[in-house]
Amino acid sequence: MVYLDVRDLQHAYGSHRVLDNISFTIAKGERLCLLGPSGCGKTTTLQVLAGFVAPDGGSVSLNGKRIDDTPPERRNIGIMFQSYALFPHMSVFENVAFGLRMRRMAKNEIRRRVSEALELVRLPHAGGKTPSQLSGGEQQRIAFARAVVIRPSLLLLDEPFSNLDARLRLEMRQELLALLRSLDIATLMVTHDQEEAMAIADRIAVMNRGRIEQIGTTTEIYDEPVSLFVGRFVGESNILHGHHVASDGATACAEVEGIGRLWIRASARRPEPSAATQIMVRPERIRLSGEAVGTADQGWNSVEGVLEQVLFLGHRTEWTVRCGDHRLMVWQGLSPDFTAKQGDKVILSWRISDTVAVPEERAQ
Amino acid sequence: MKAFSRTRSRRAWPILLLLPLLFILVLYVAPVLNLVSISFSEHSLKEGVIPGFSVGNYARLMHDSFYFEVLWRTIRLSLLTTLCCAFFGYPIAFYLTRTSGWRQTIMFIVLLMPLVTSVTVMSYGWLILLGRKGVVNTLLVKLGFFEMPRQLMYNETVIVVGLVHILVVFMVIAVAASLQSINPALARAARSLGASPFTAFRQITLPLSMPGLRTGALLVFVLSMSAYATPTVLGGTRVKFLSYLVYQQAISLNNWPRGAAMAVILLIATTAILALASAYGQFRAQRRQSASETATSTMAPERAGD
Repeated sequence: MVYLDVRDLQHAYGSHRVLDNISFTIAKGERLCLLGPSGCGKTTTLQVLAGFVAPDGGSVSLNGKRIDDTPPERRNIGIMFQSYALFPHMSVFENVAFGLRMRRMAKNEIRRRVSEALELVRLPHAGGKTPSQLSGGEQQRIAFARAVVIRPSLLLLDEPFSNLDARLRLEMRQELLALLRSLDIATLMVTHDQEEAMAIADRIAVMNRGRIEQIGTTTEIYDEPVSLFVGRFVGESNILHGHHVASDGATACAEVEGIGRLWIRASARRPEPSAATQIMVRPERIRLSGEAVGTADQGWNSVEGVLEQVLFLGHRTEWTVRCGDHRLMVWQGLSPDFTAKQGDKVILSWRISDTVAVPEERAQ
Repeated sequence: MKAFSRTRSRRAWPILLLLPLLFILVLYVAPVLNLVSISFSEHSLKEGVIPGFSVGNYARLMHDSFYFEVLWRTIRLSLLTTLCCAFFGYPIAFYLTRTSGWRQTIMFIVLLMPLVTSVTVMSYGWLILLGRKGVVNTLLVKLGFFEMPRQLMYNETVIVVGLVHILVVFMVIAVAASLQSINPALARAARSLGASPFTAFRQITLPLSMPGLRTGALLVFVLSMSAYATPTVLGGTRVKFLSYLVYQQAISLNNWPRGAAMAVILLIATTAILALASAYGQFRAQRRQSASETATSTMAPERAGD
């Protein structure tokens, strides 16, 4: 069931288009993440939903009602700001109580709901402190409590982890996910970090230059990127430039200079023969060995190359292999049983189902 | 090695303080002490300053109702000036922080103009505007509001107008600096939680800009308490500021001890009012804090055991 319906948002700052036909929906209880580099329009989209920016065109409906002309204070949307935006001159209690006071709730009810919210974020005794007395992680939890205590119709998370150090970030990611699951609120998160997006969201919308490039489940985005941009932005990819030679029902075939023929997983798109194409393979899907793992009939692509570099990083080993004009990354998680020295000839094998073709990037 | 350099740097800091300390001692503390000591000496027309210790100057001032009338006017009009500067300066500062580019530049130039112009020139500018044959009088007569030109100069109102004109820039700069340091996300957070634009301003932006308002008020008040040229030109012979009386005693009548005593009382009055204001501010802050503490302790009575 569509709960939040965003349609054809258009916005420009001067001659600079920041939003170009942004449309998406969120179902009740669903978590959608807008993922993209800075300047892609994801923050502007968030501001439009919050009511701080009036878009040049398009519409936003929440629970079946248009909210385009509703001022921010009457939208009942909870926001967790990137800087948390806790009121520094108020205690933690007053911060969390602010939204309830604005709703003119009875004092007892406010007290009950605030202590419930502080309980939820596991800081039940922080009420008397000021925000500056809290650690970064605690501030984030208070910001979350303040945003959800009003029981919002929609929750907006703006780069929720960008102000935390790396270790705390992993911890808070799990904690926030657990909280969101327990509350079951429709949530829109905005981030430039693909790992955060994949960890928190049910679906991801990848944005670039004010457009949504692709919207889909986390696995769809990762395994079936529709554009070079998506493939590059979400995770690492090896990209081979080639052109199509043939395509039949199940698979297609492309010629890559210096490497030879590669089989490509079937997709809905039917490129013209000899059309230029990009072939993408994730580095962790490639196997290194002395001889080919399987033939094309068995579902494998094999390429010969020369080992250029080996990096042992503990949790994985990164190999760099030169194949013709291309340089391919290969990541292996377990300590490899295969060993090779720099300059050795190696065979790279990967499944045809892991081989994705994306059309040549449009000239911008 | 590291410990050695640290002890050395610790020994070095008083030396670094020496220069500014000397500066303040020579240029500020010494003249003030000198002023205080002169105020306790006697004066005669023939001999000038007679060194010694006597409270005669103060005793005579205590019975001088004219002096107190002027002192009270100085305090009253300075407070009024401060209030007006806050009232007009805050919106200007607010606008200034929310605009950019050439608008901001022009605003700043307009605000700083009175500081660049000589106070005397500017005050005579008011004279041209408000004098009997001035622009305002001519206009009001022509429009039929006045039957004949009226005296608009030489009263308390025009002194306040003149002082606000010069001093409002200090308020604007202090408040703007304070507003600029407030995270704009705070007001938005308040809006998203259900506060109207006005409520968000009153509960978030205004309290957070209080330090700037306080600094501005302090600057404006101190500067207008000691203002000389503006009140002298605009107040004329009848409406005087205390700085004029001090000038009259010290320069025209050559009675330094009496002038010094007047200046010392002005200094004490200014300091006392500032101290009173800051004490009141601290009292309010403390009451607020204890109020919020009782609110939370009733919420979580087990907090003490935590």
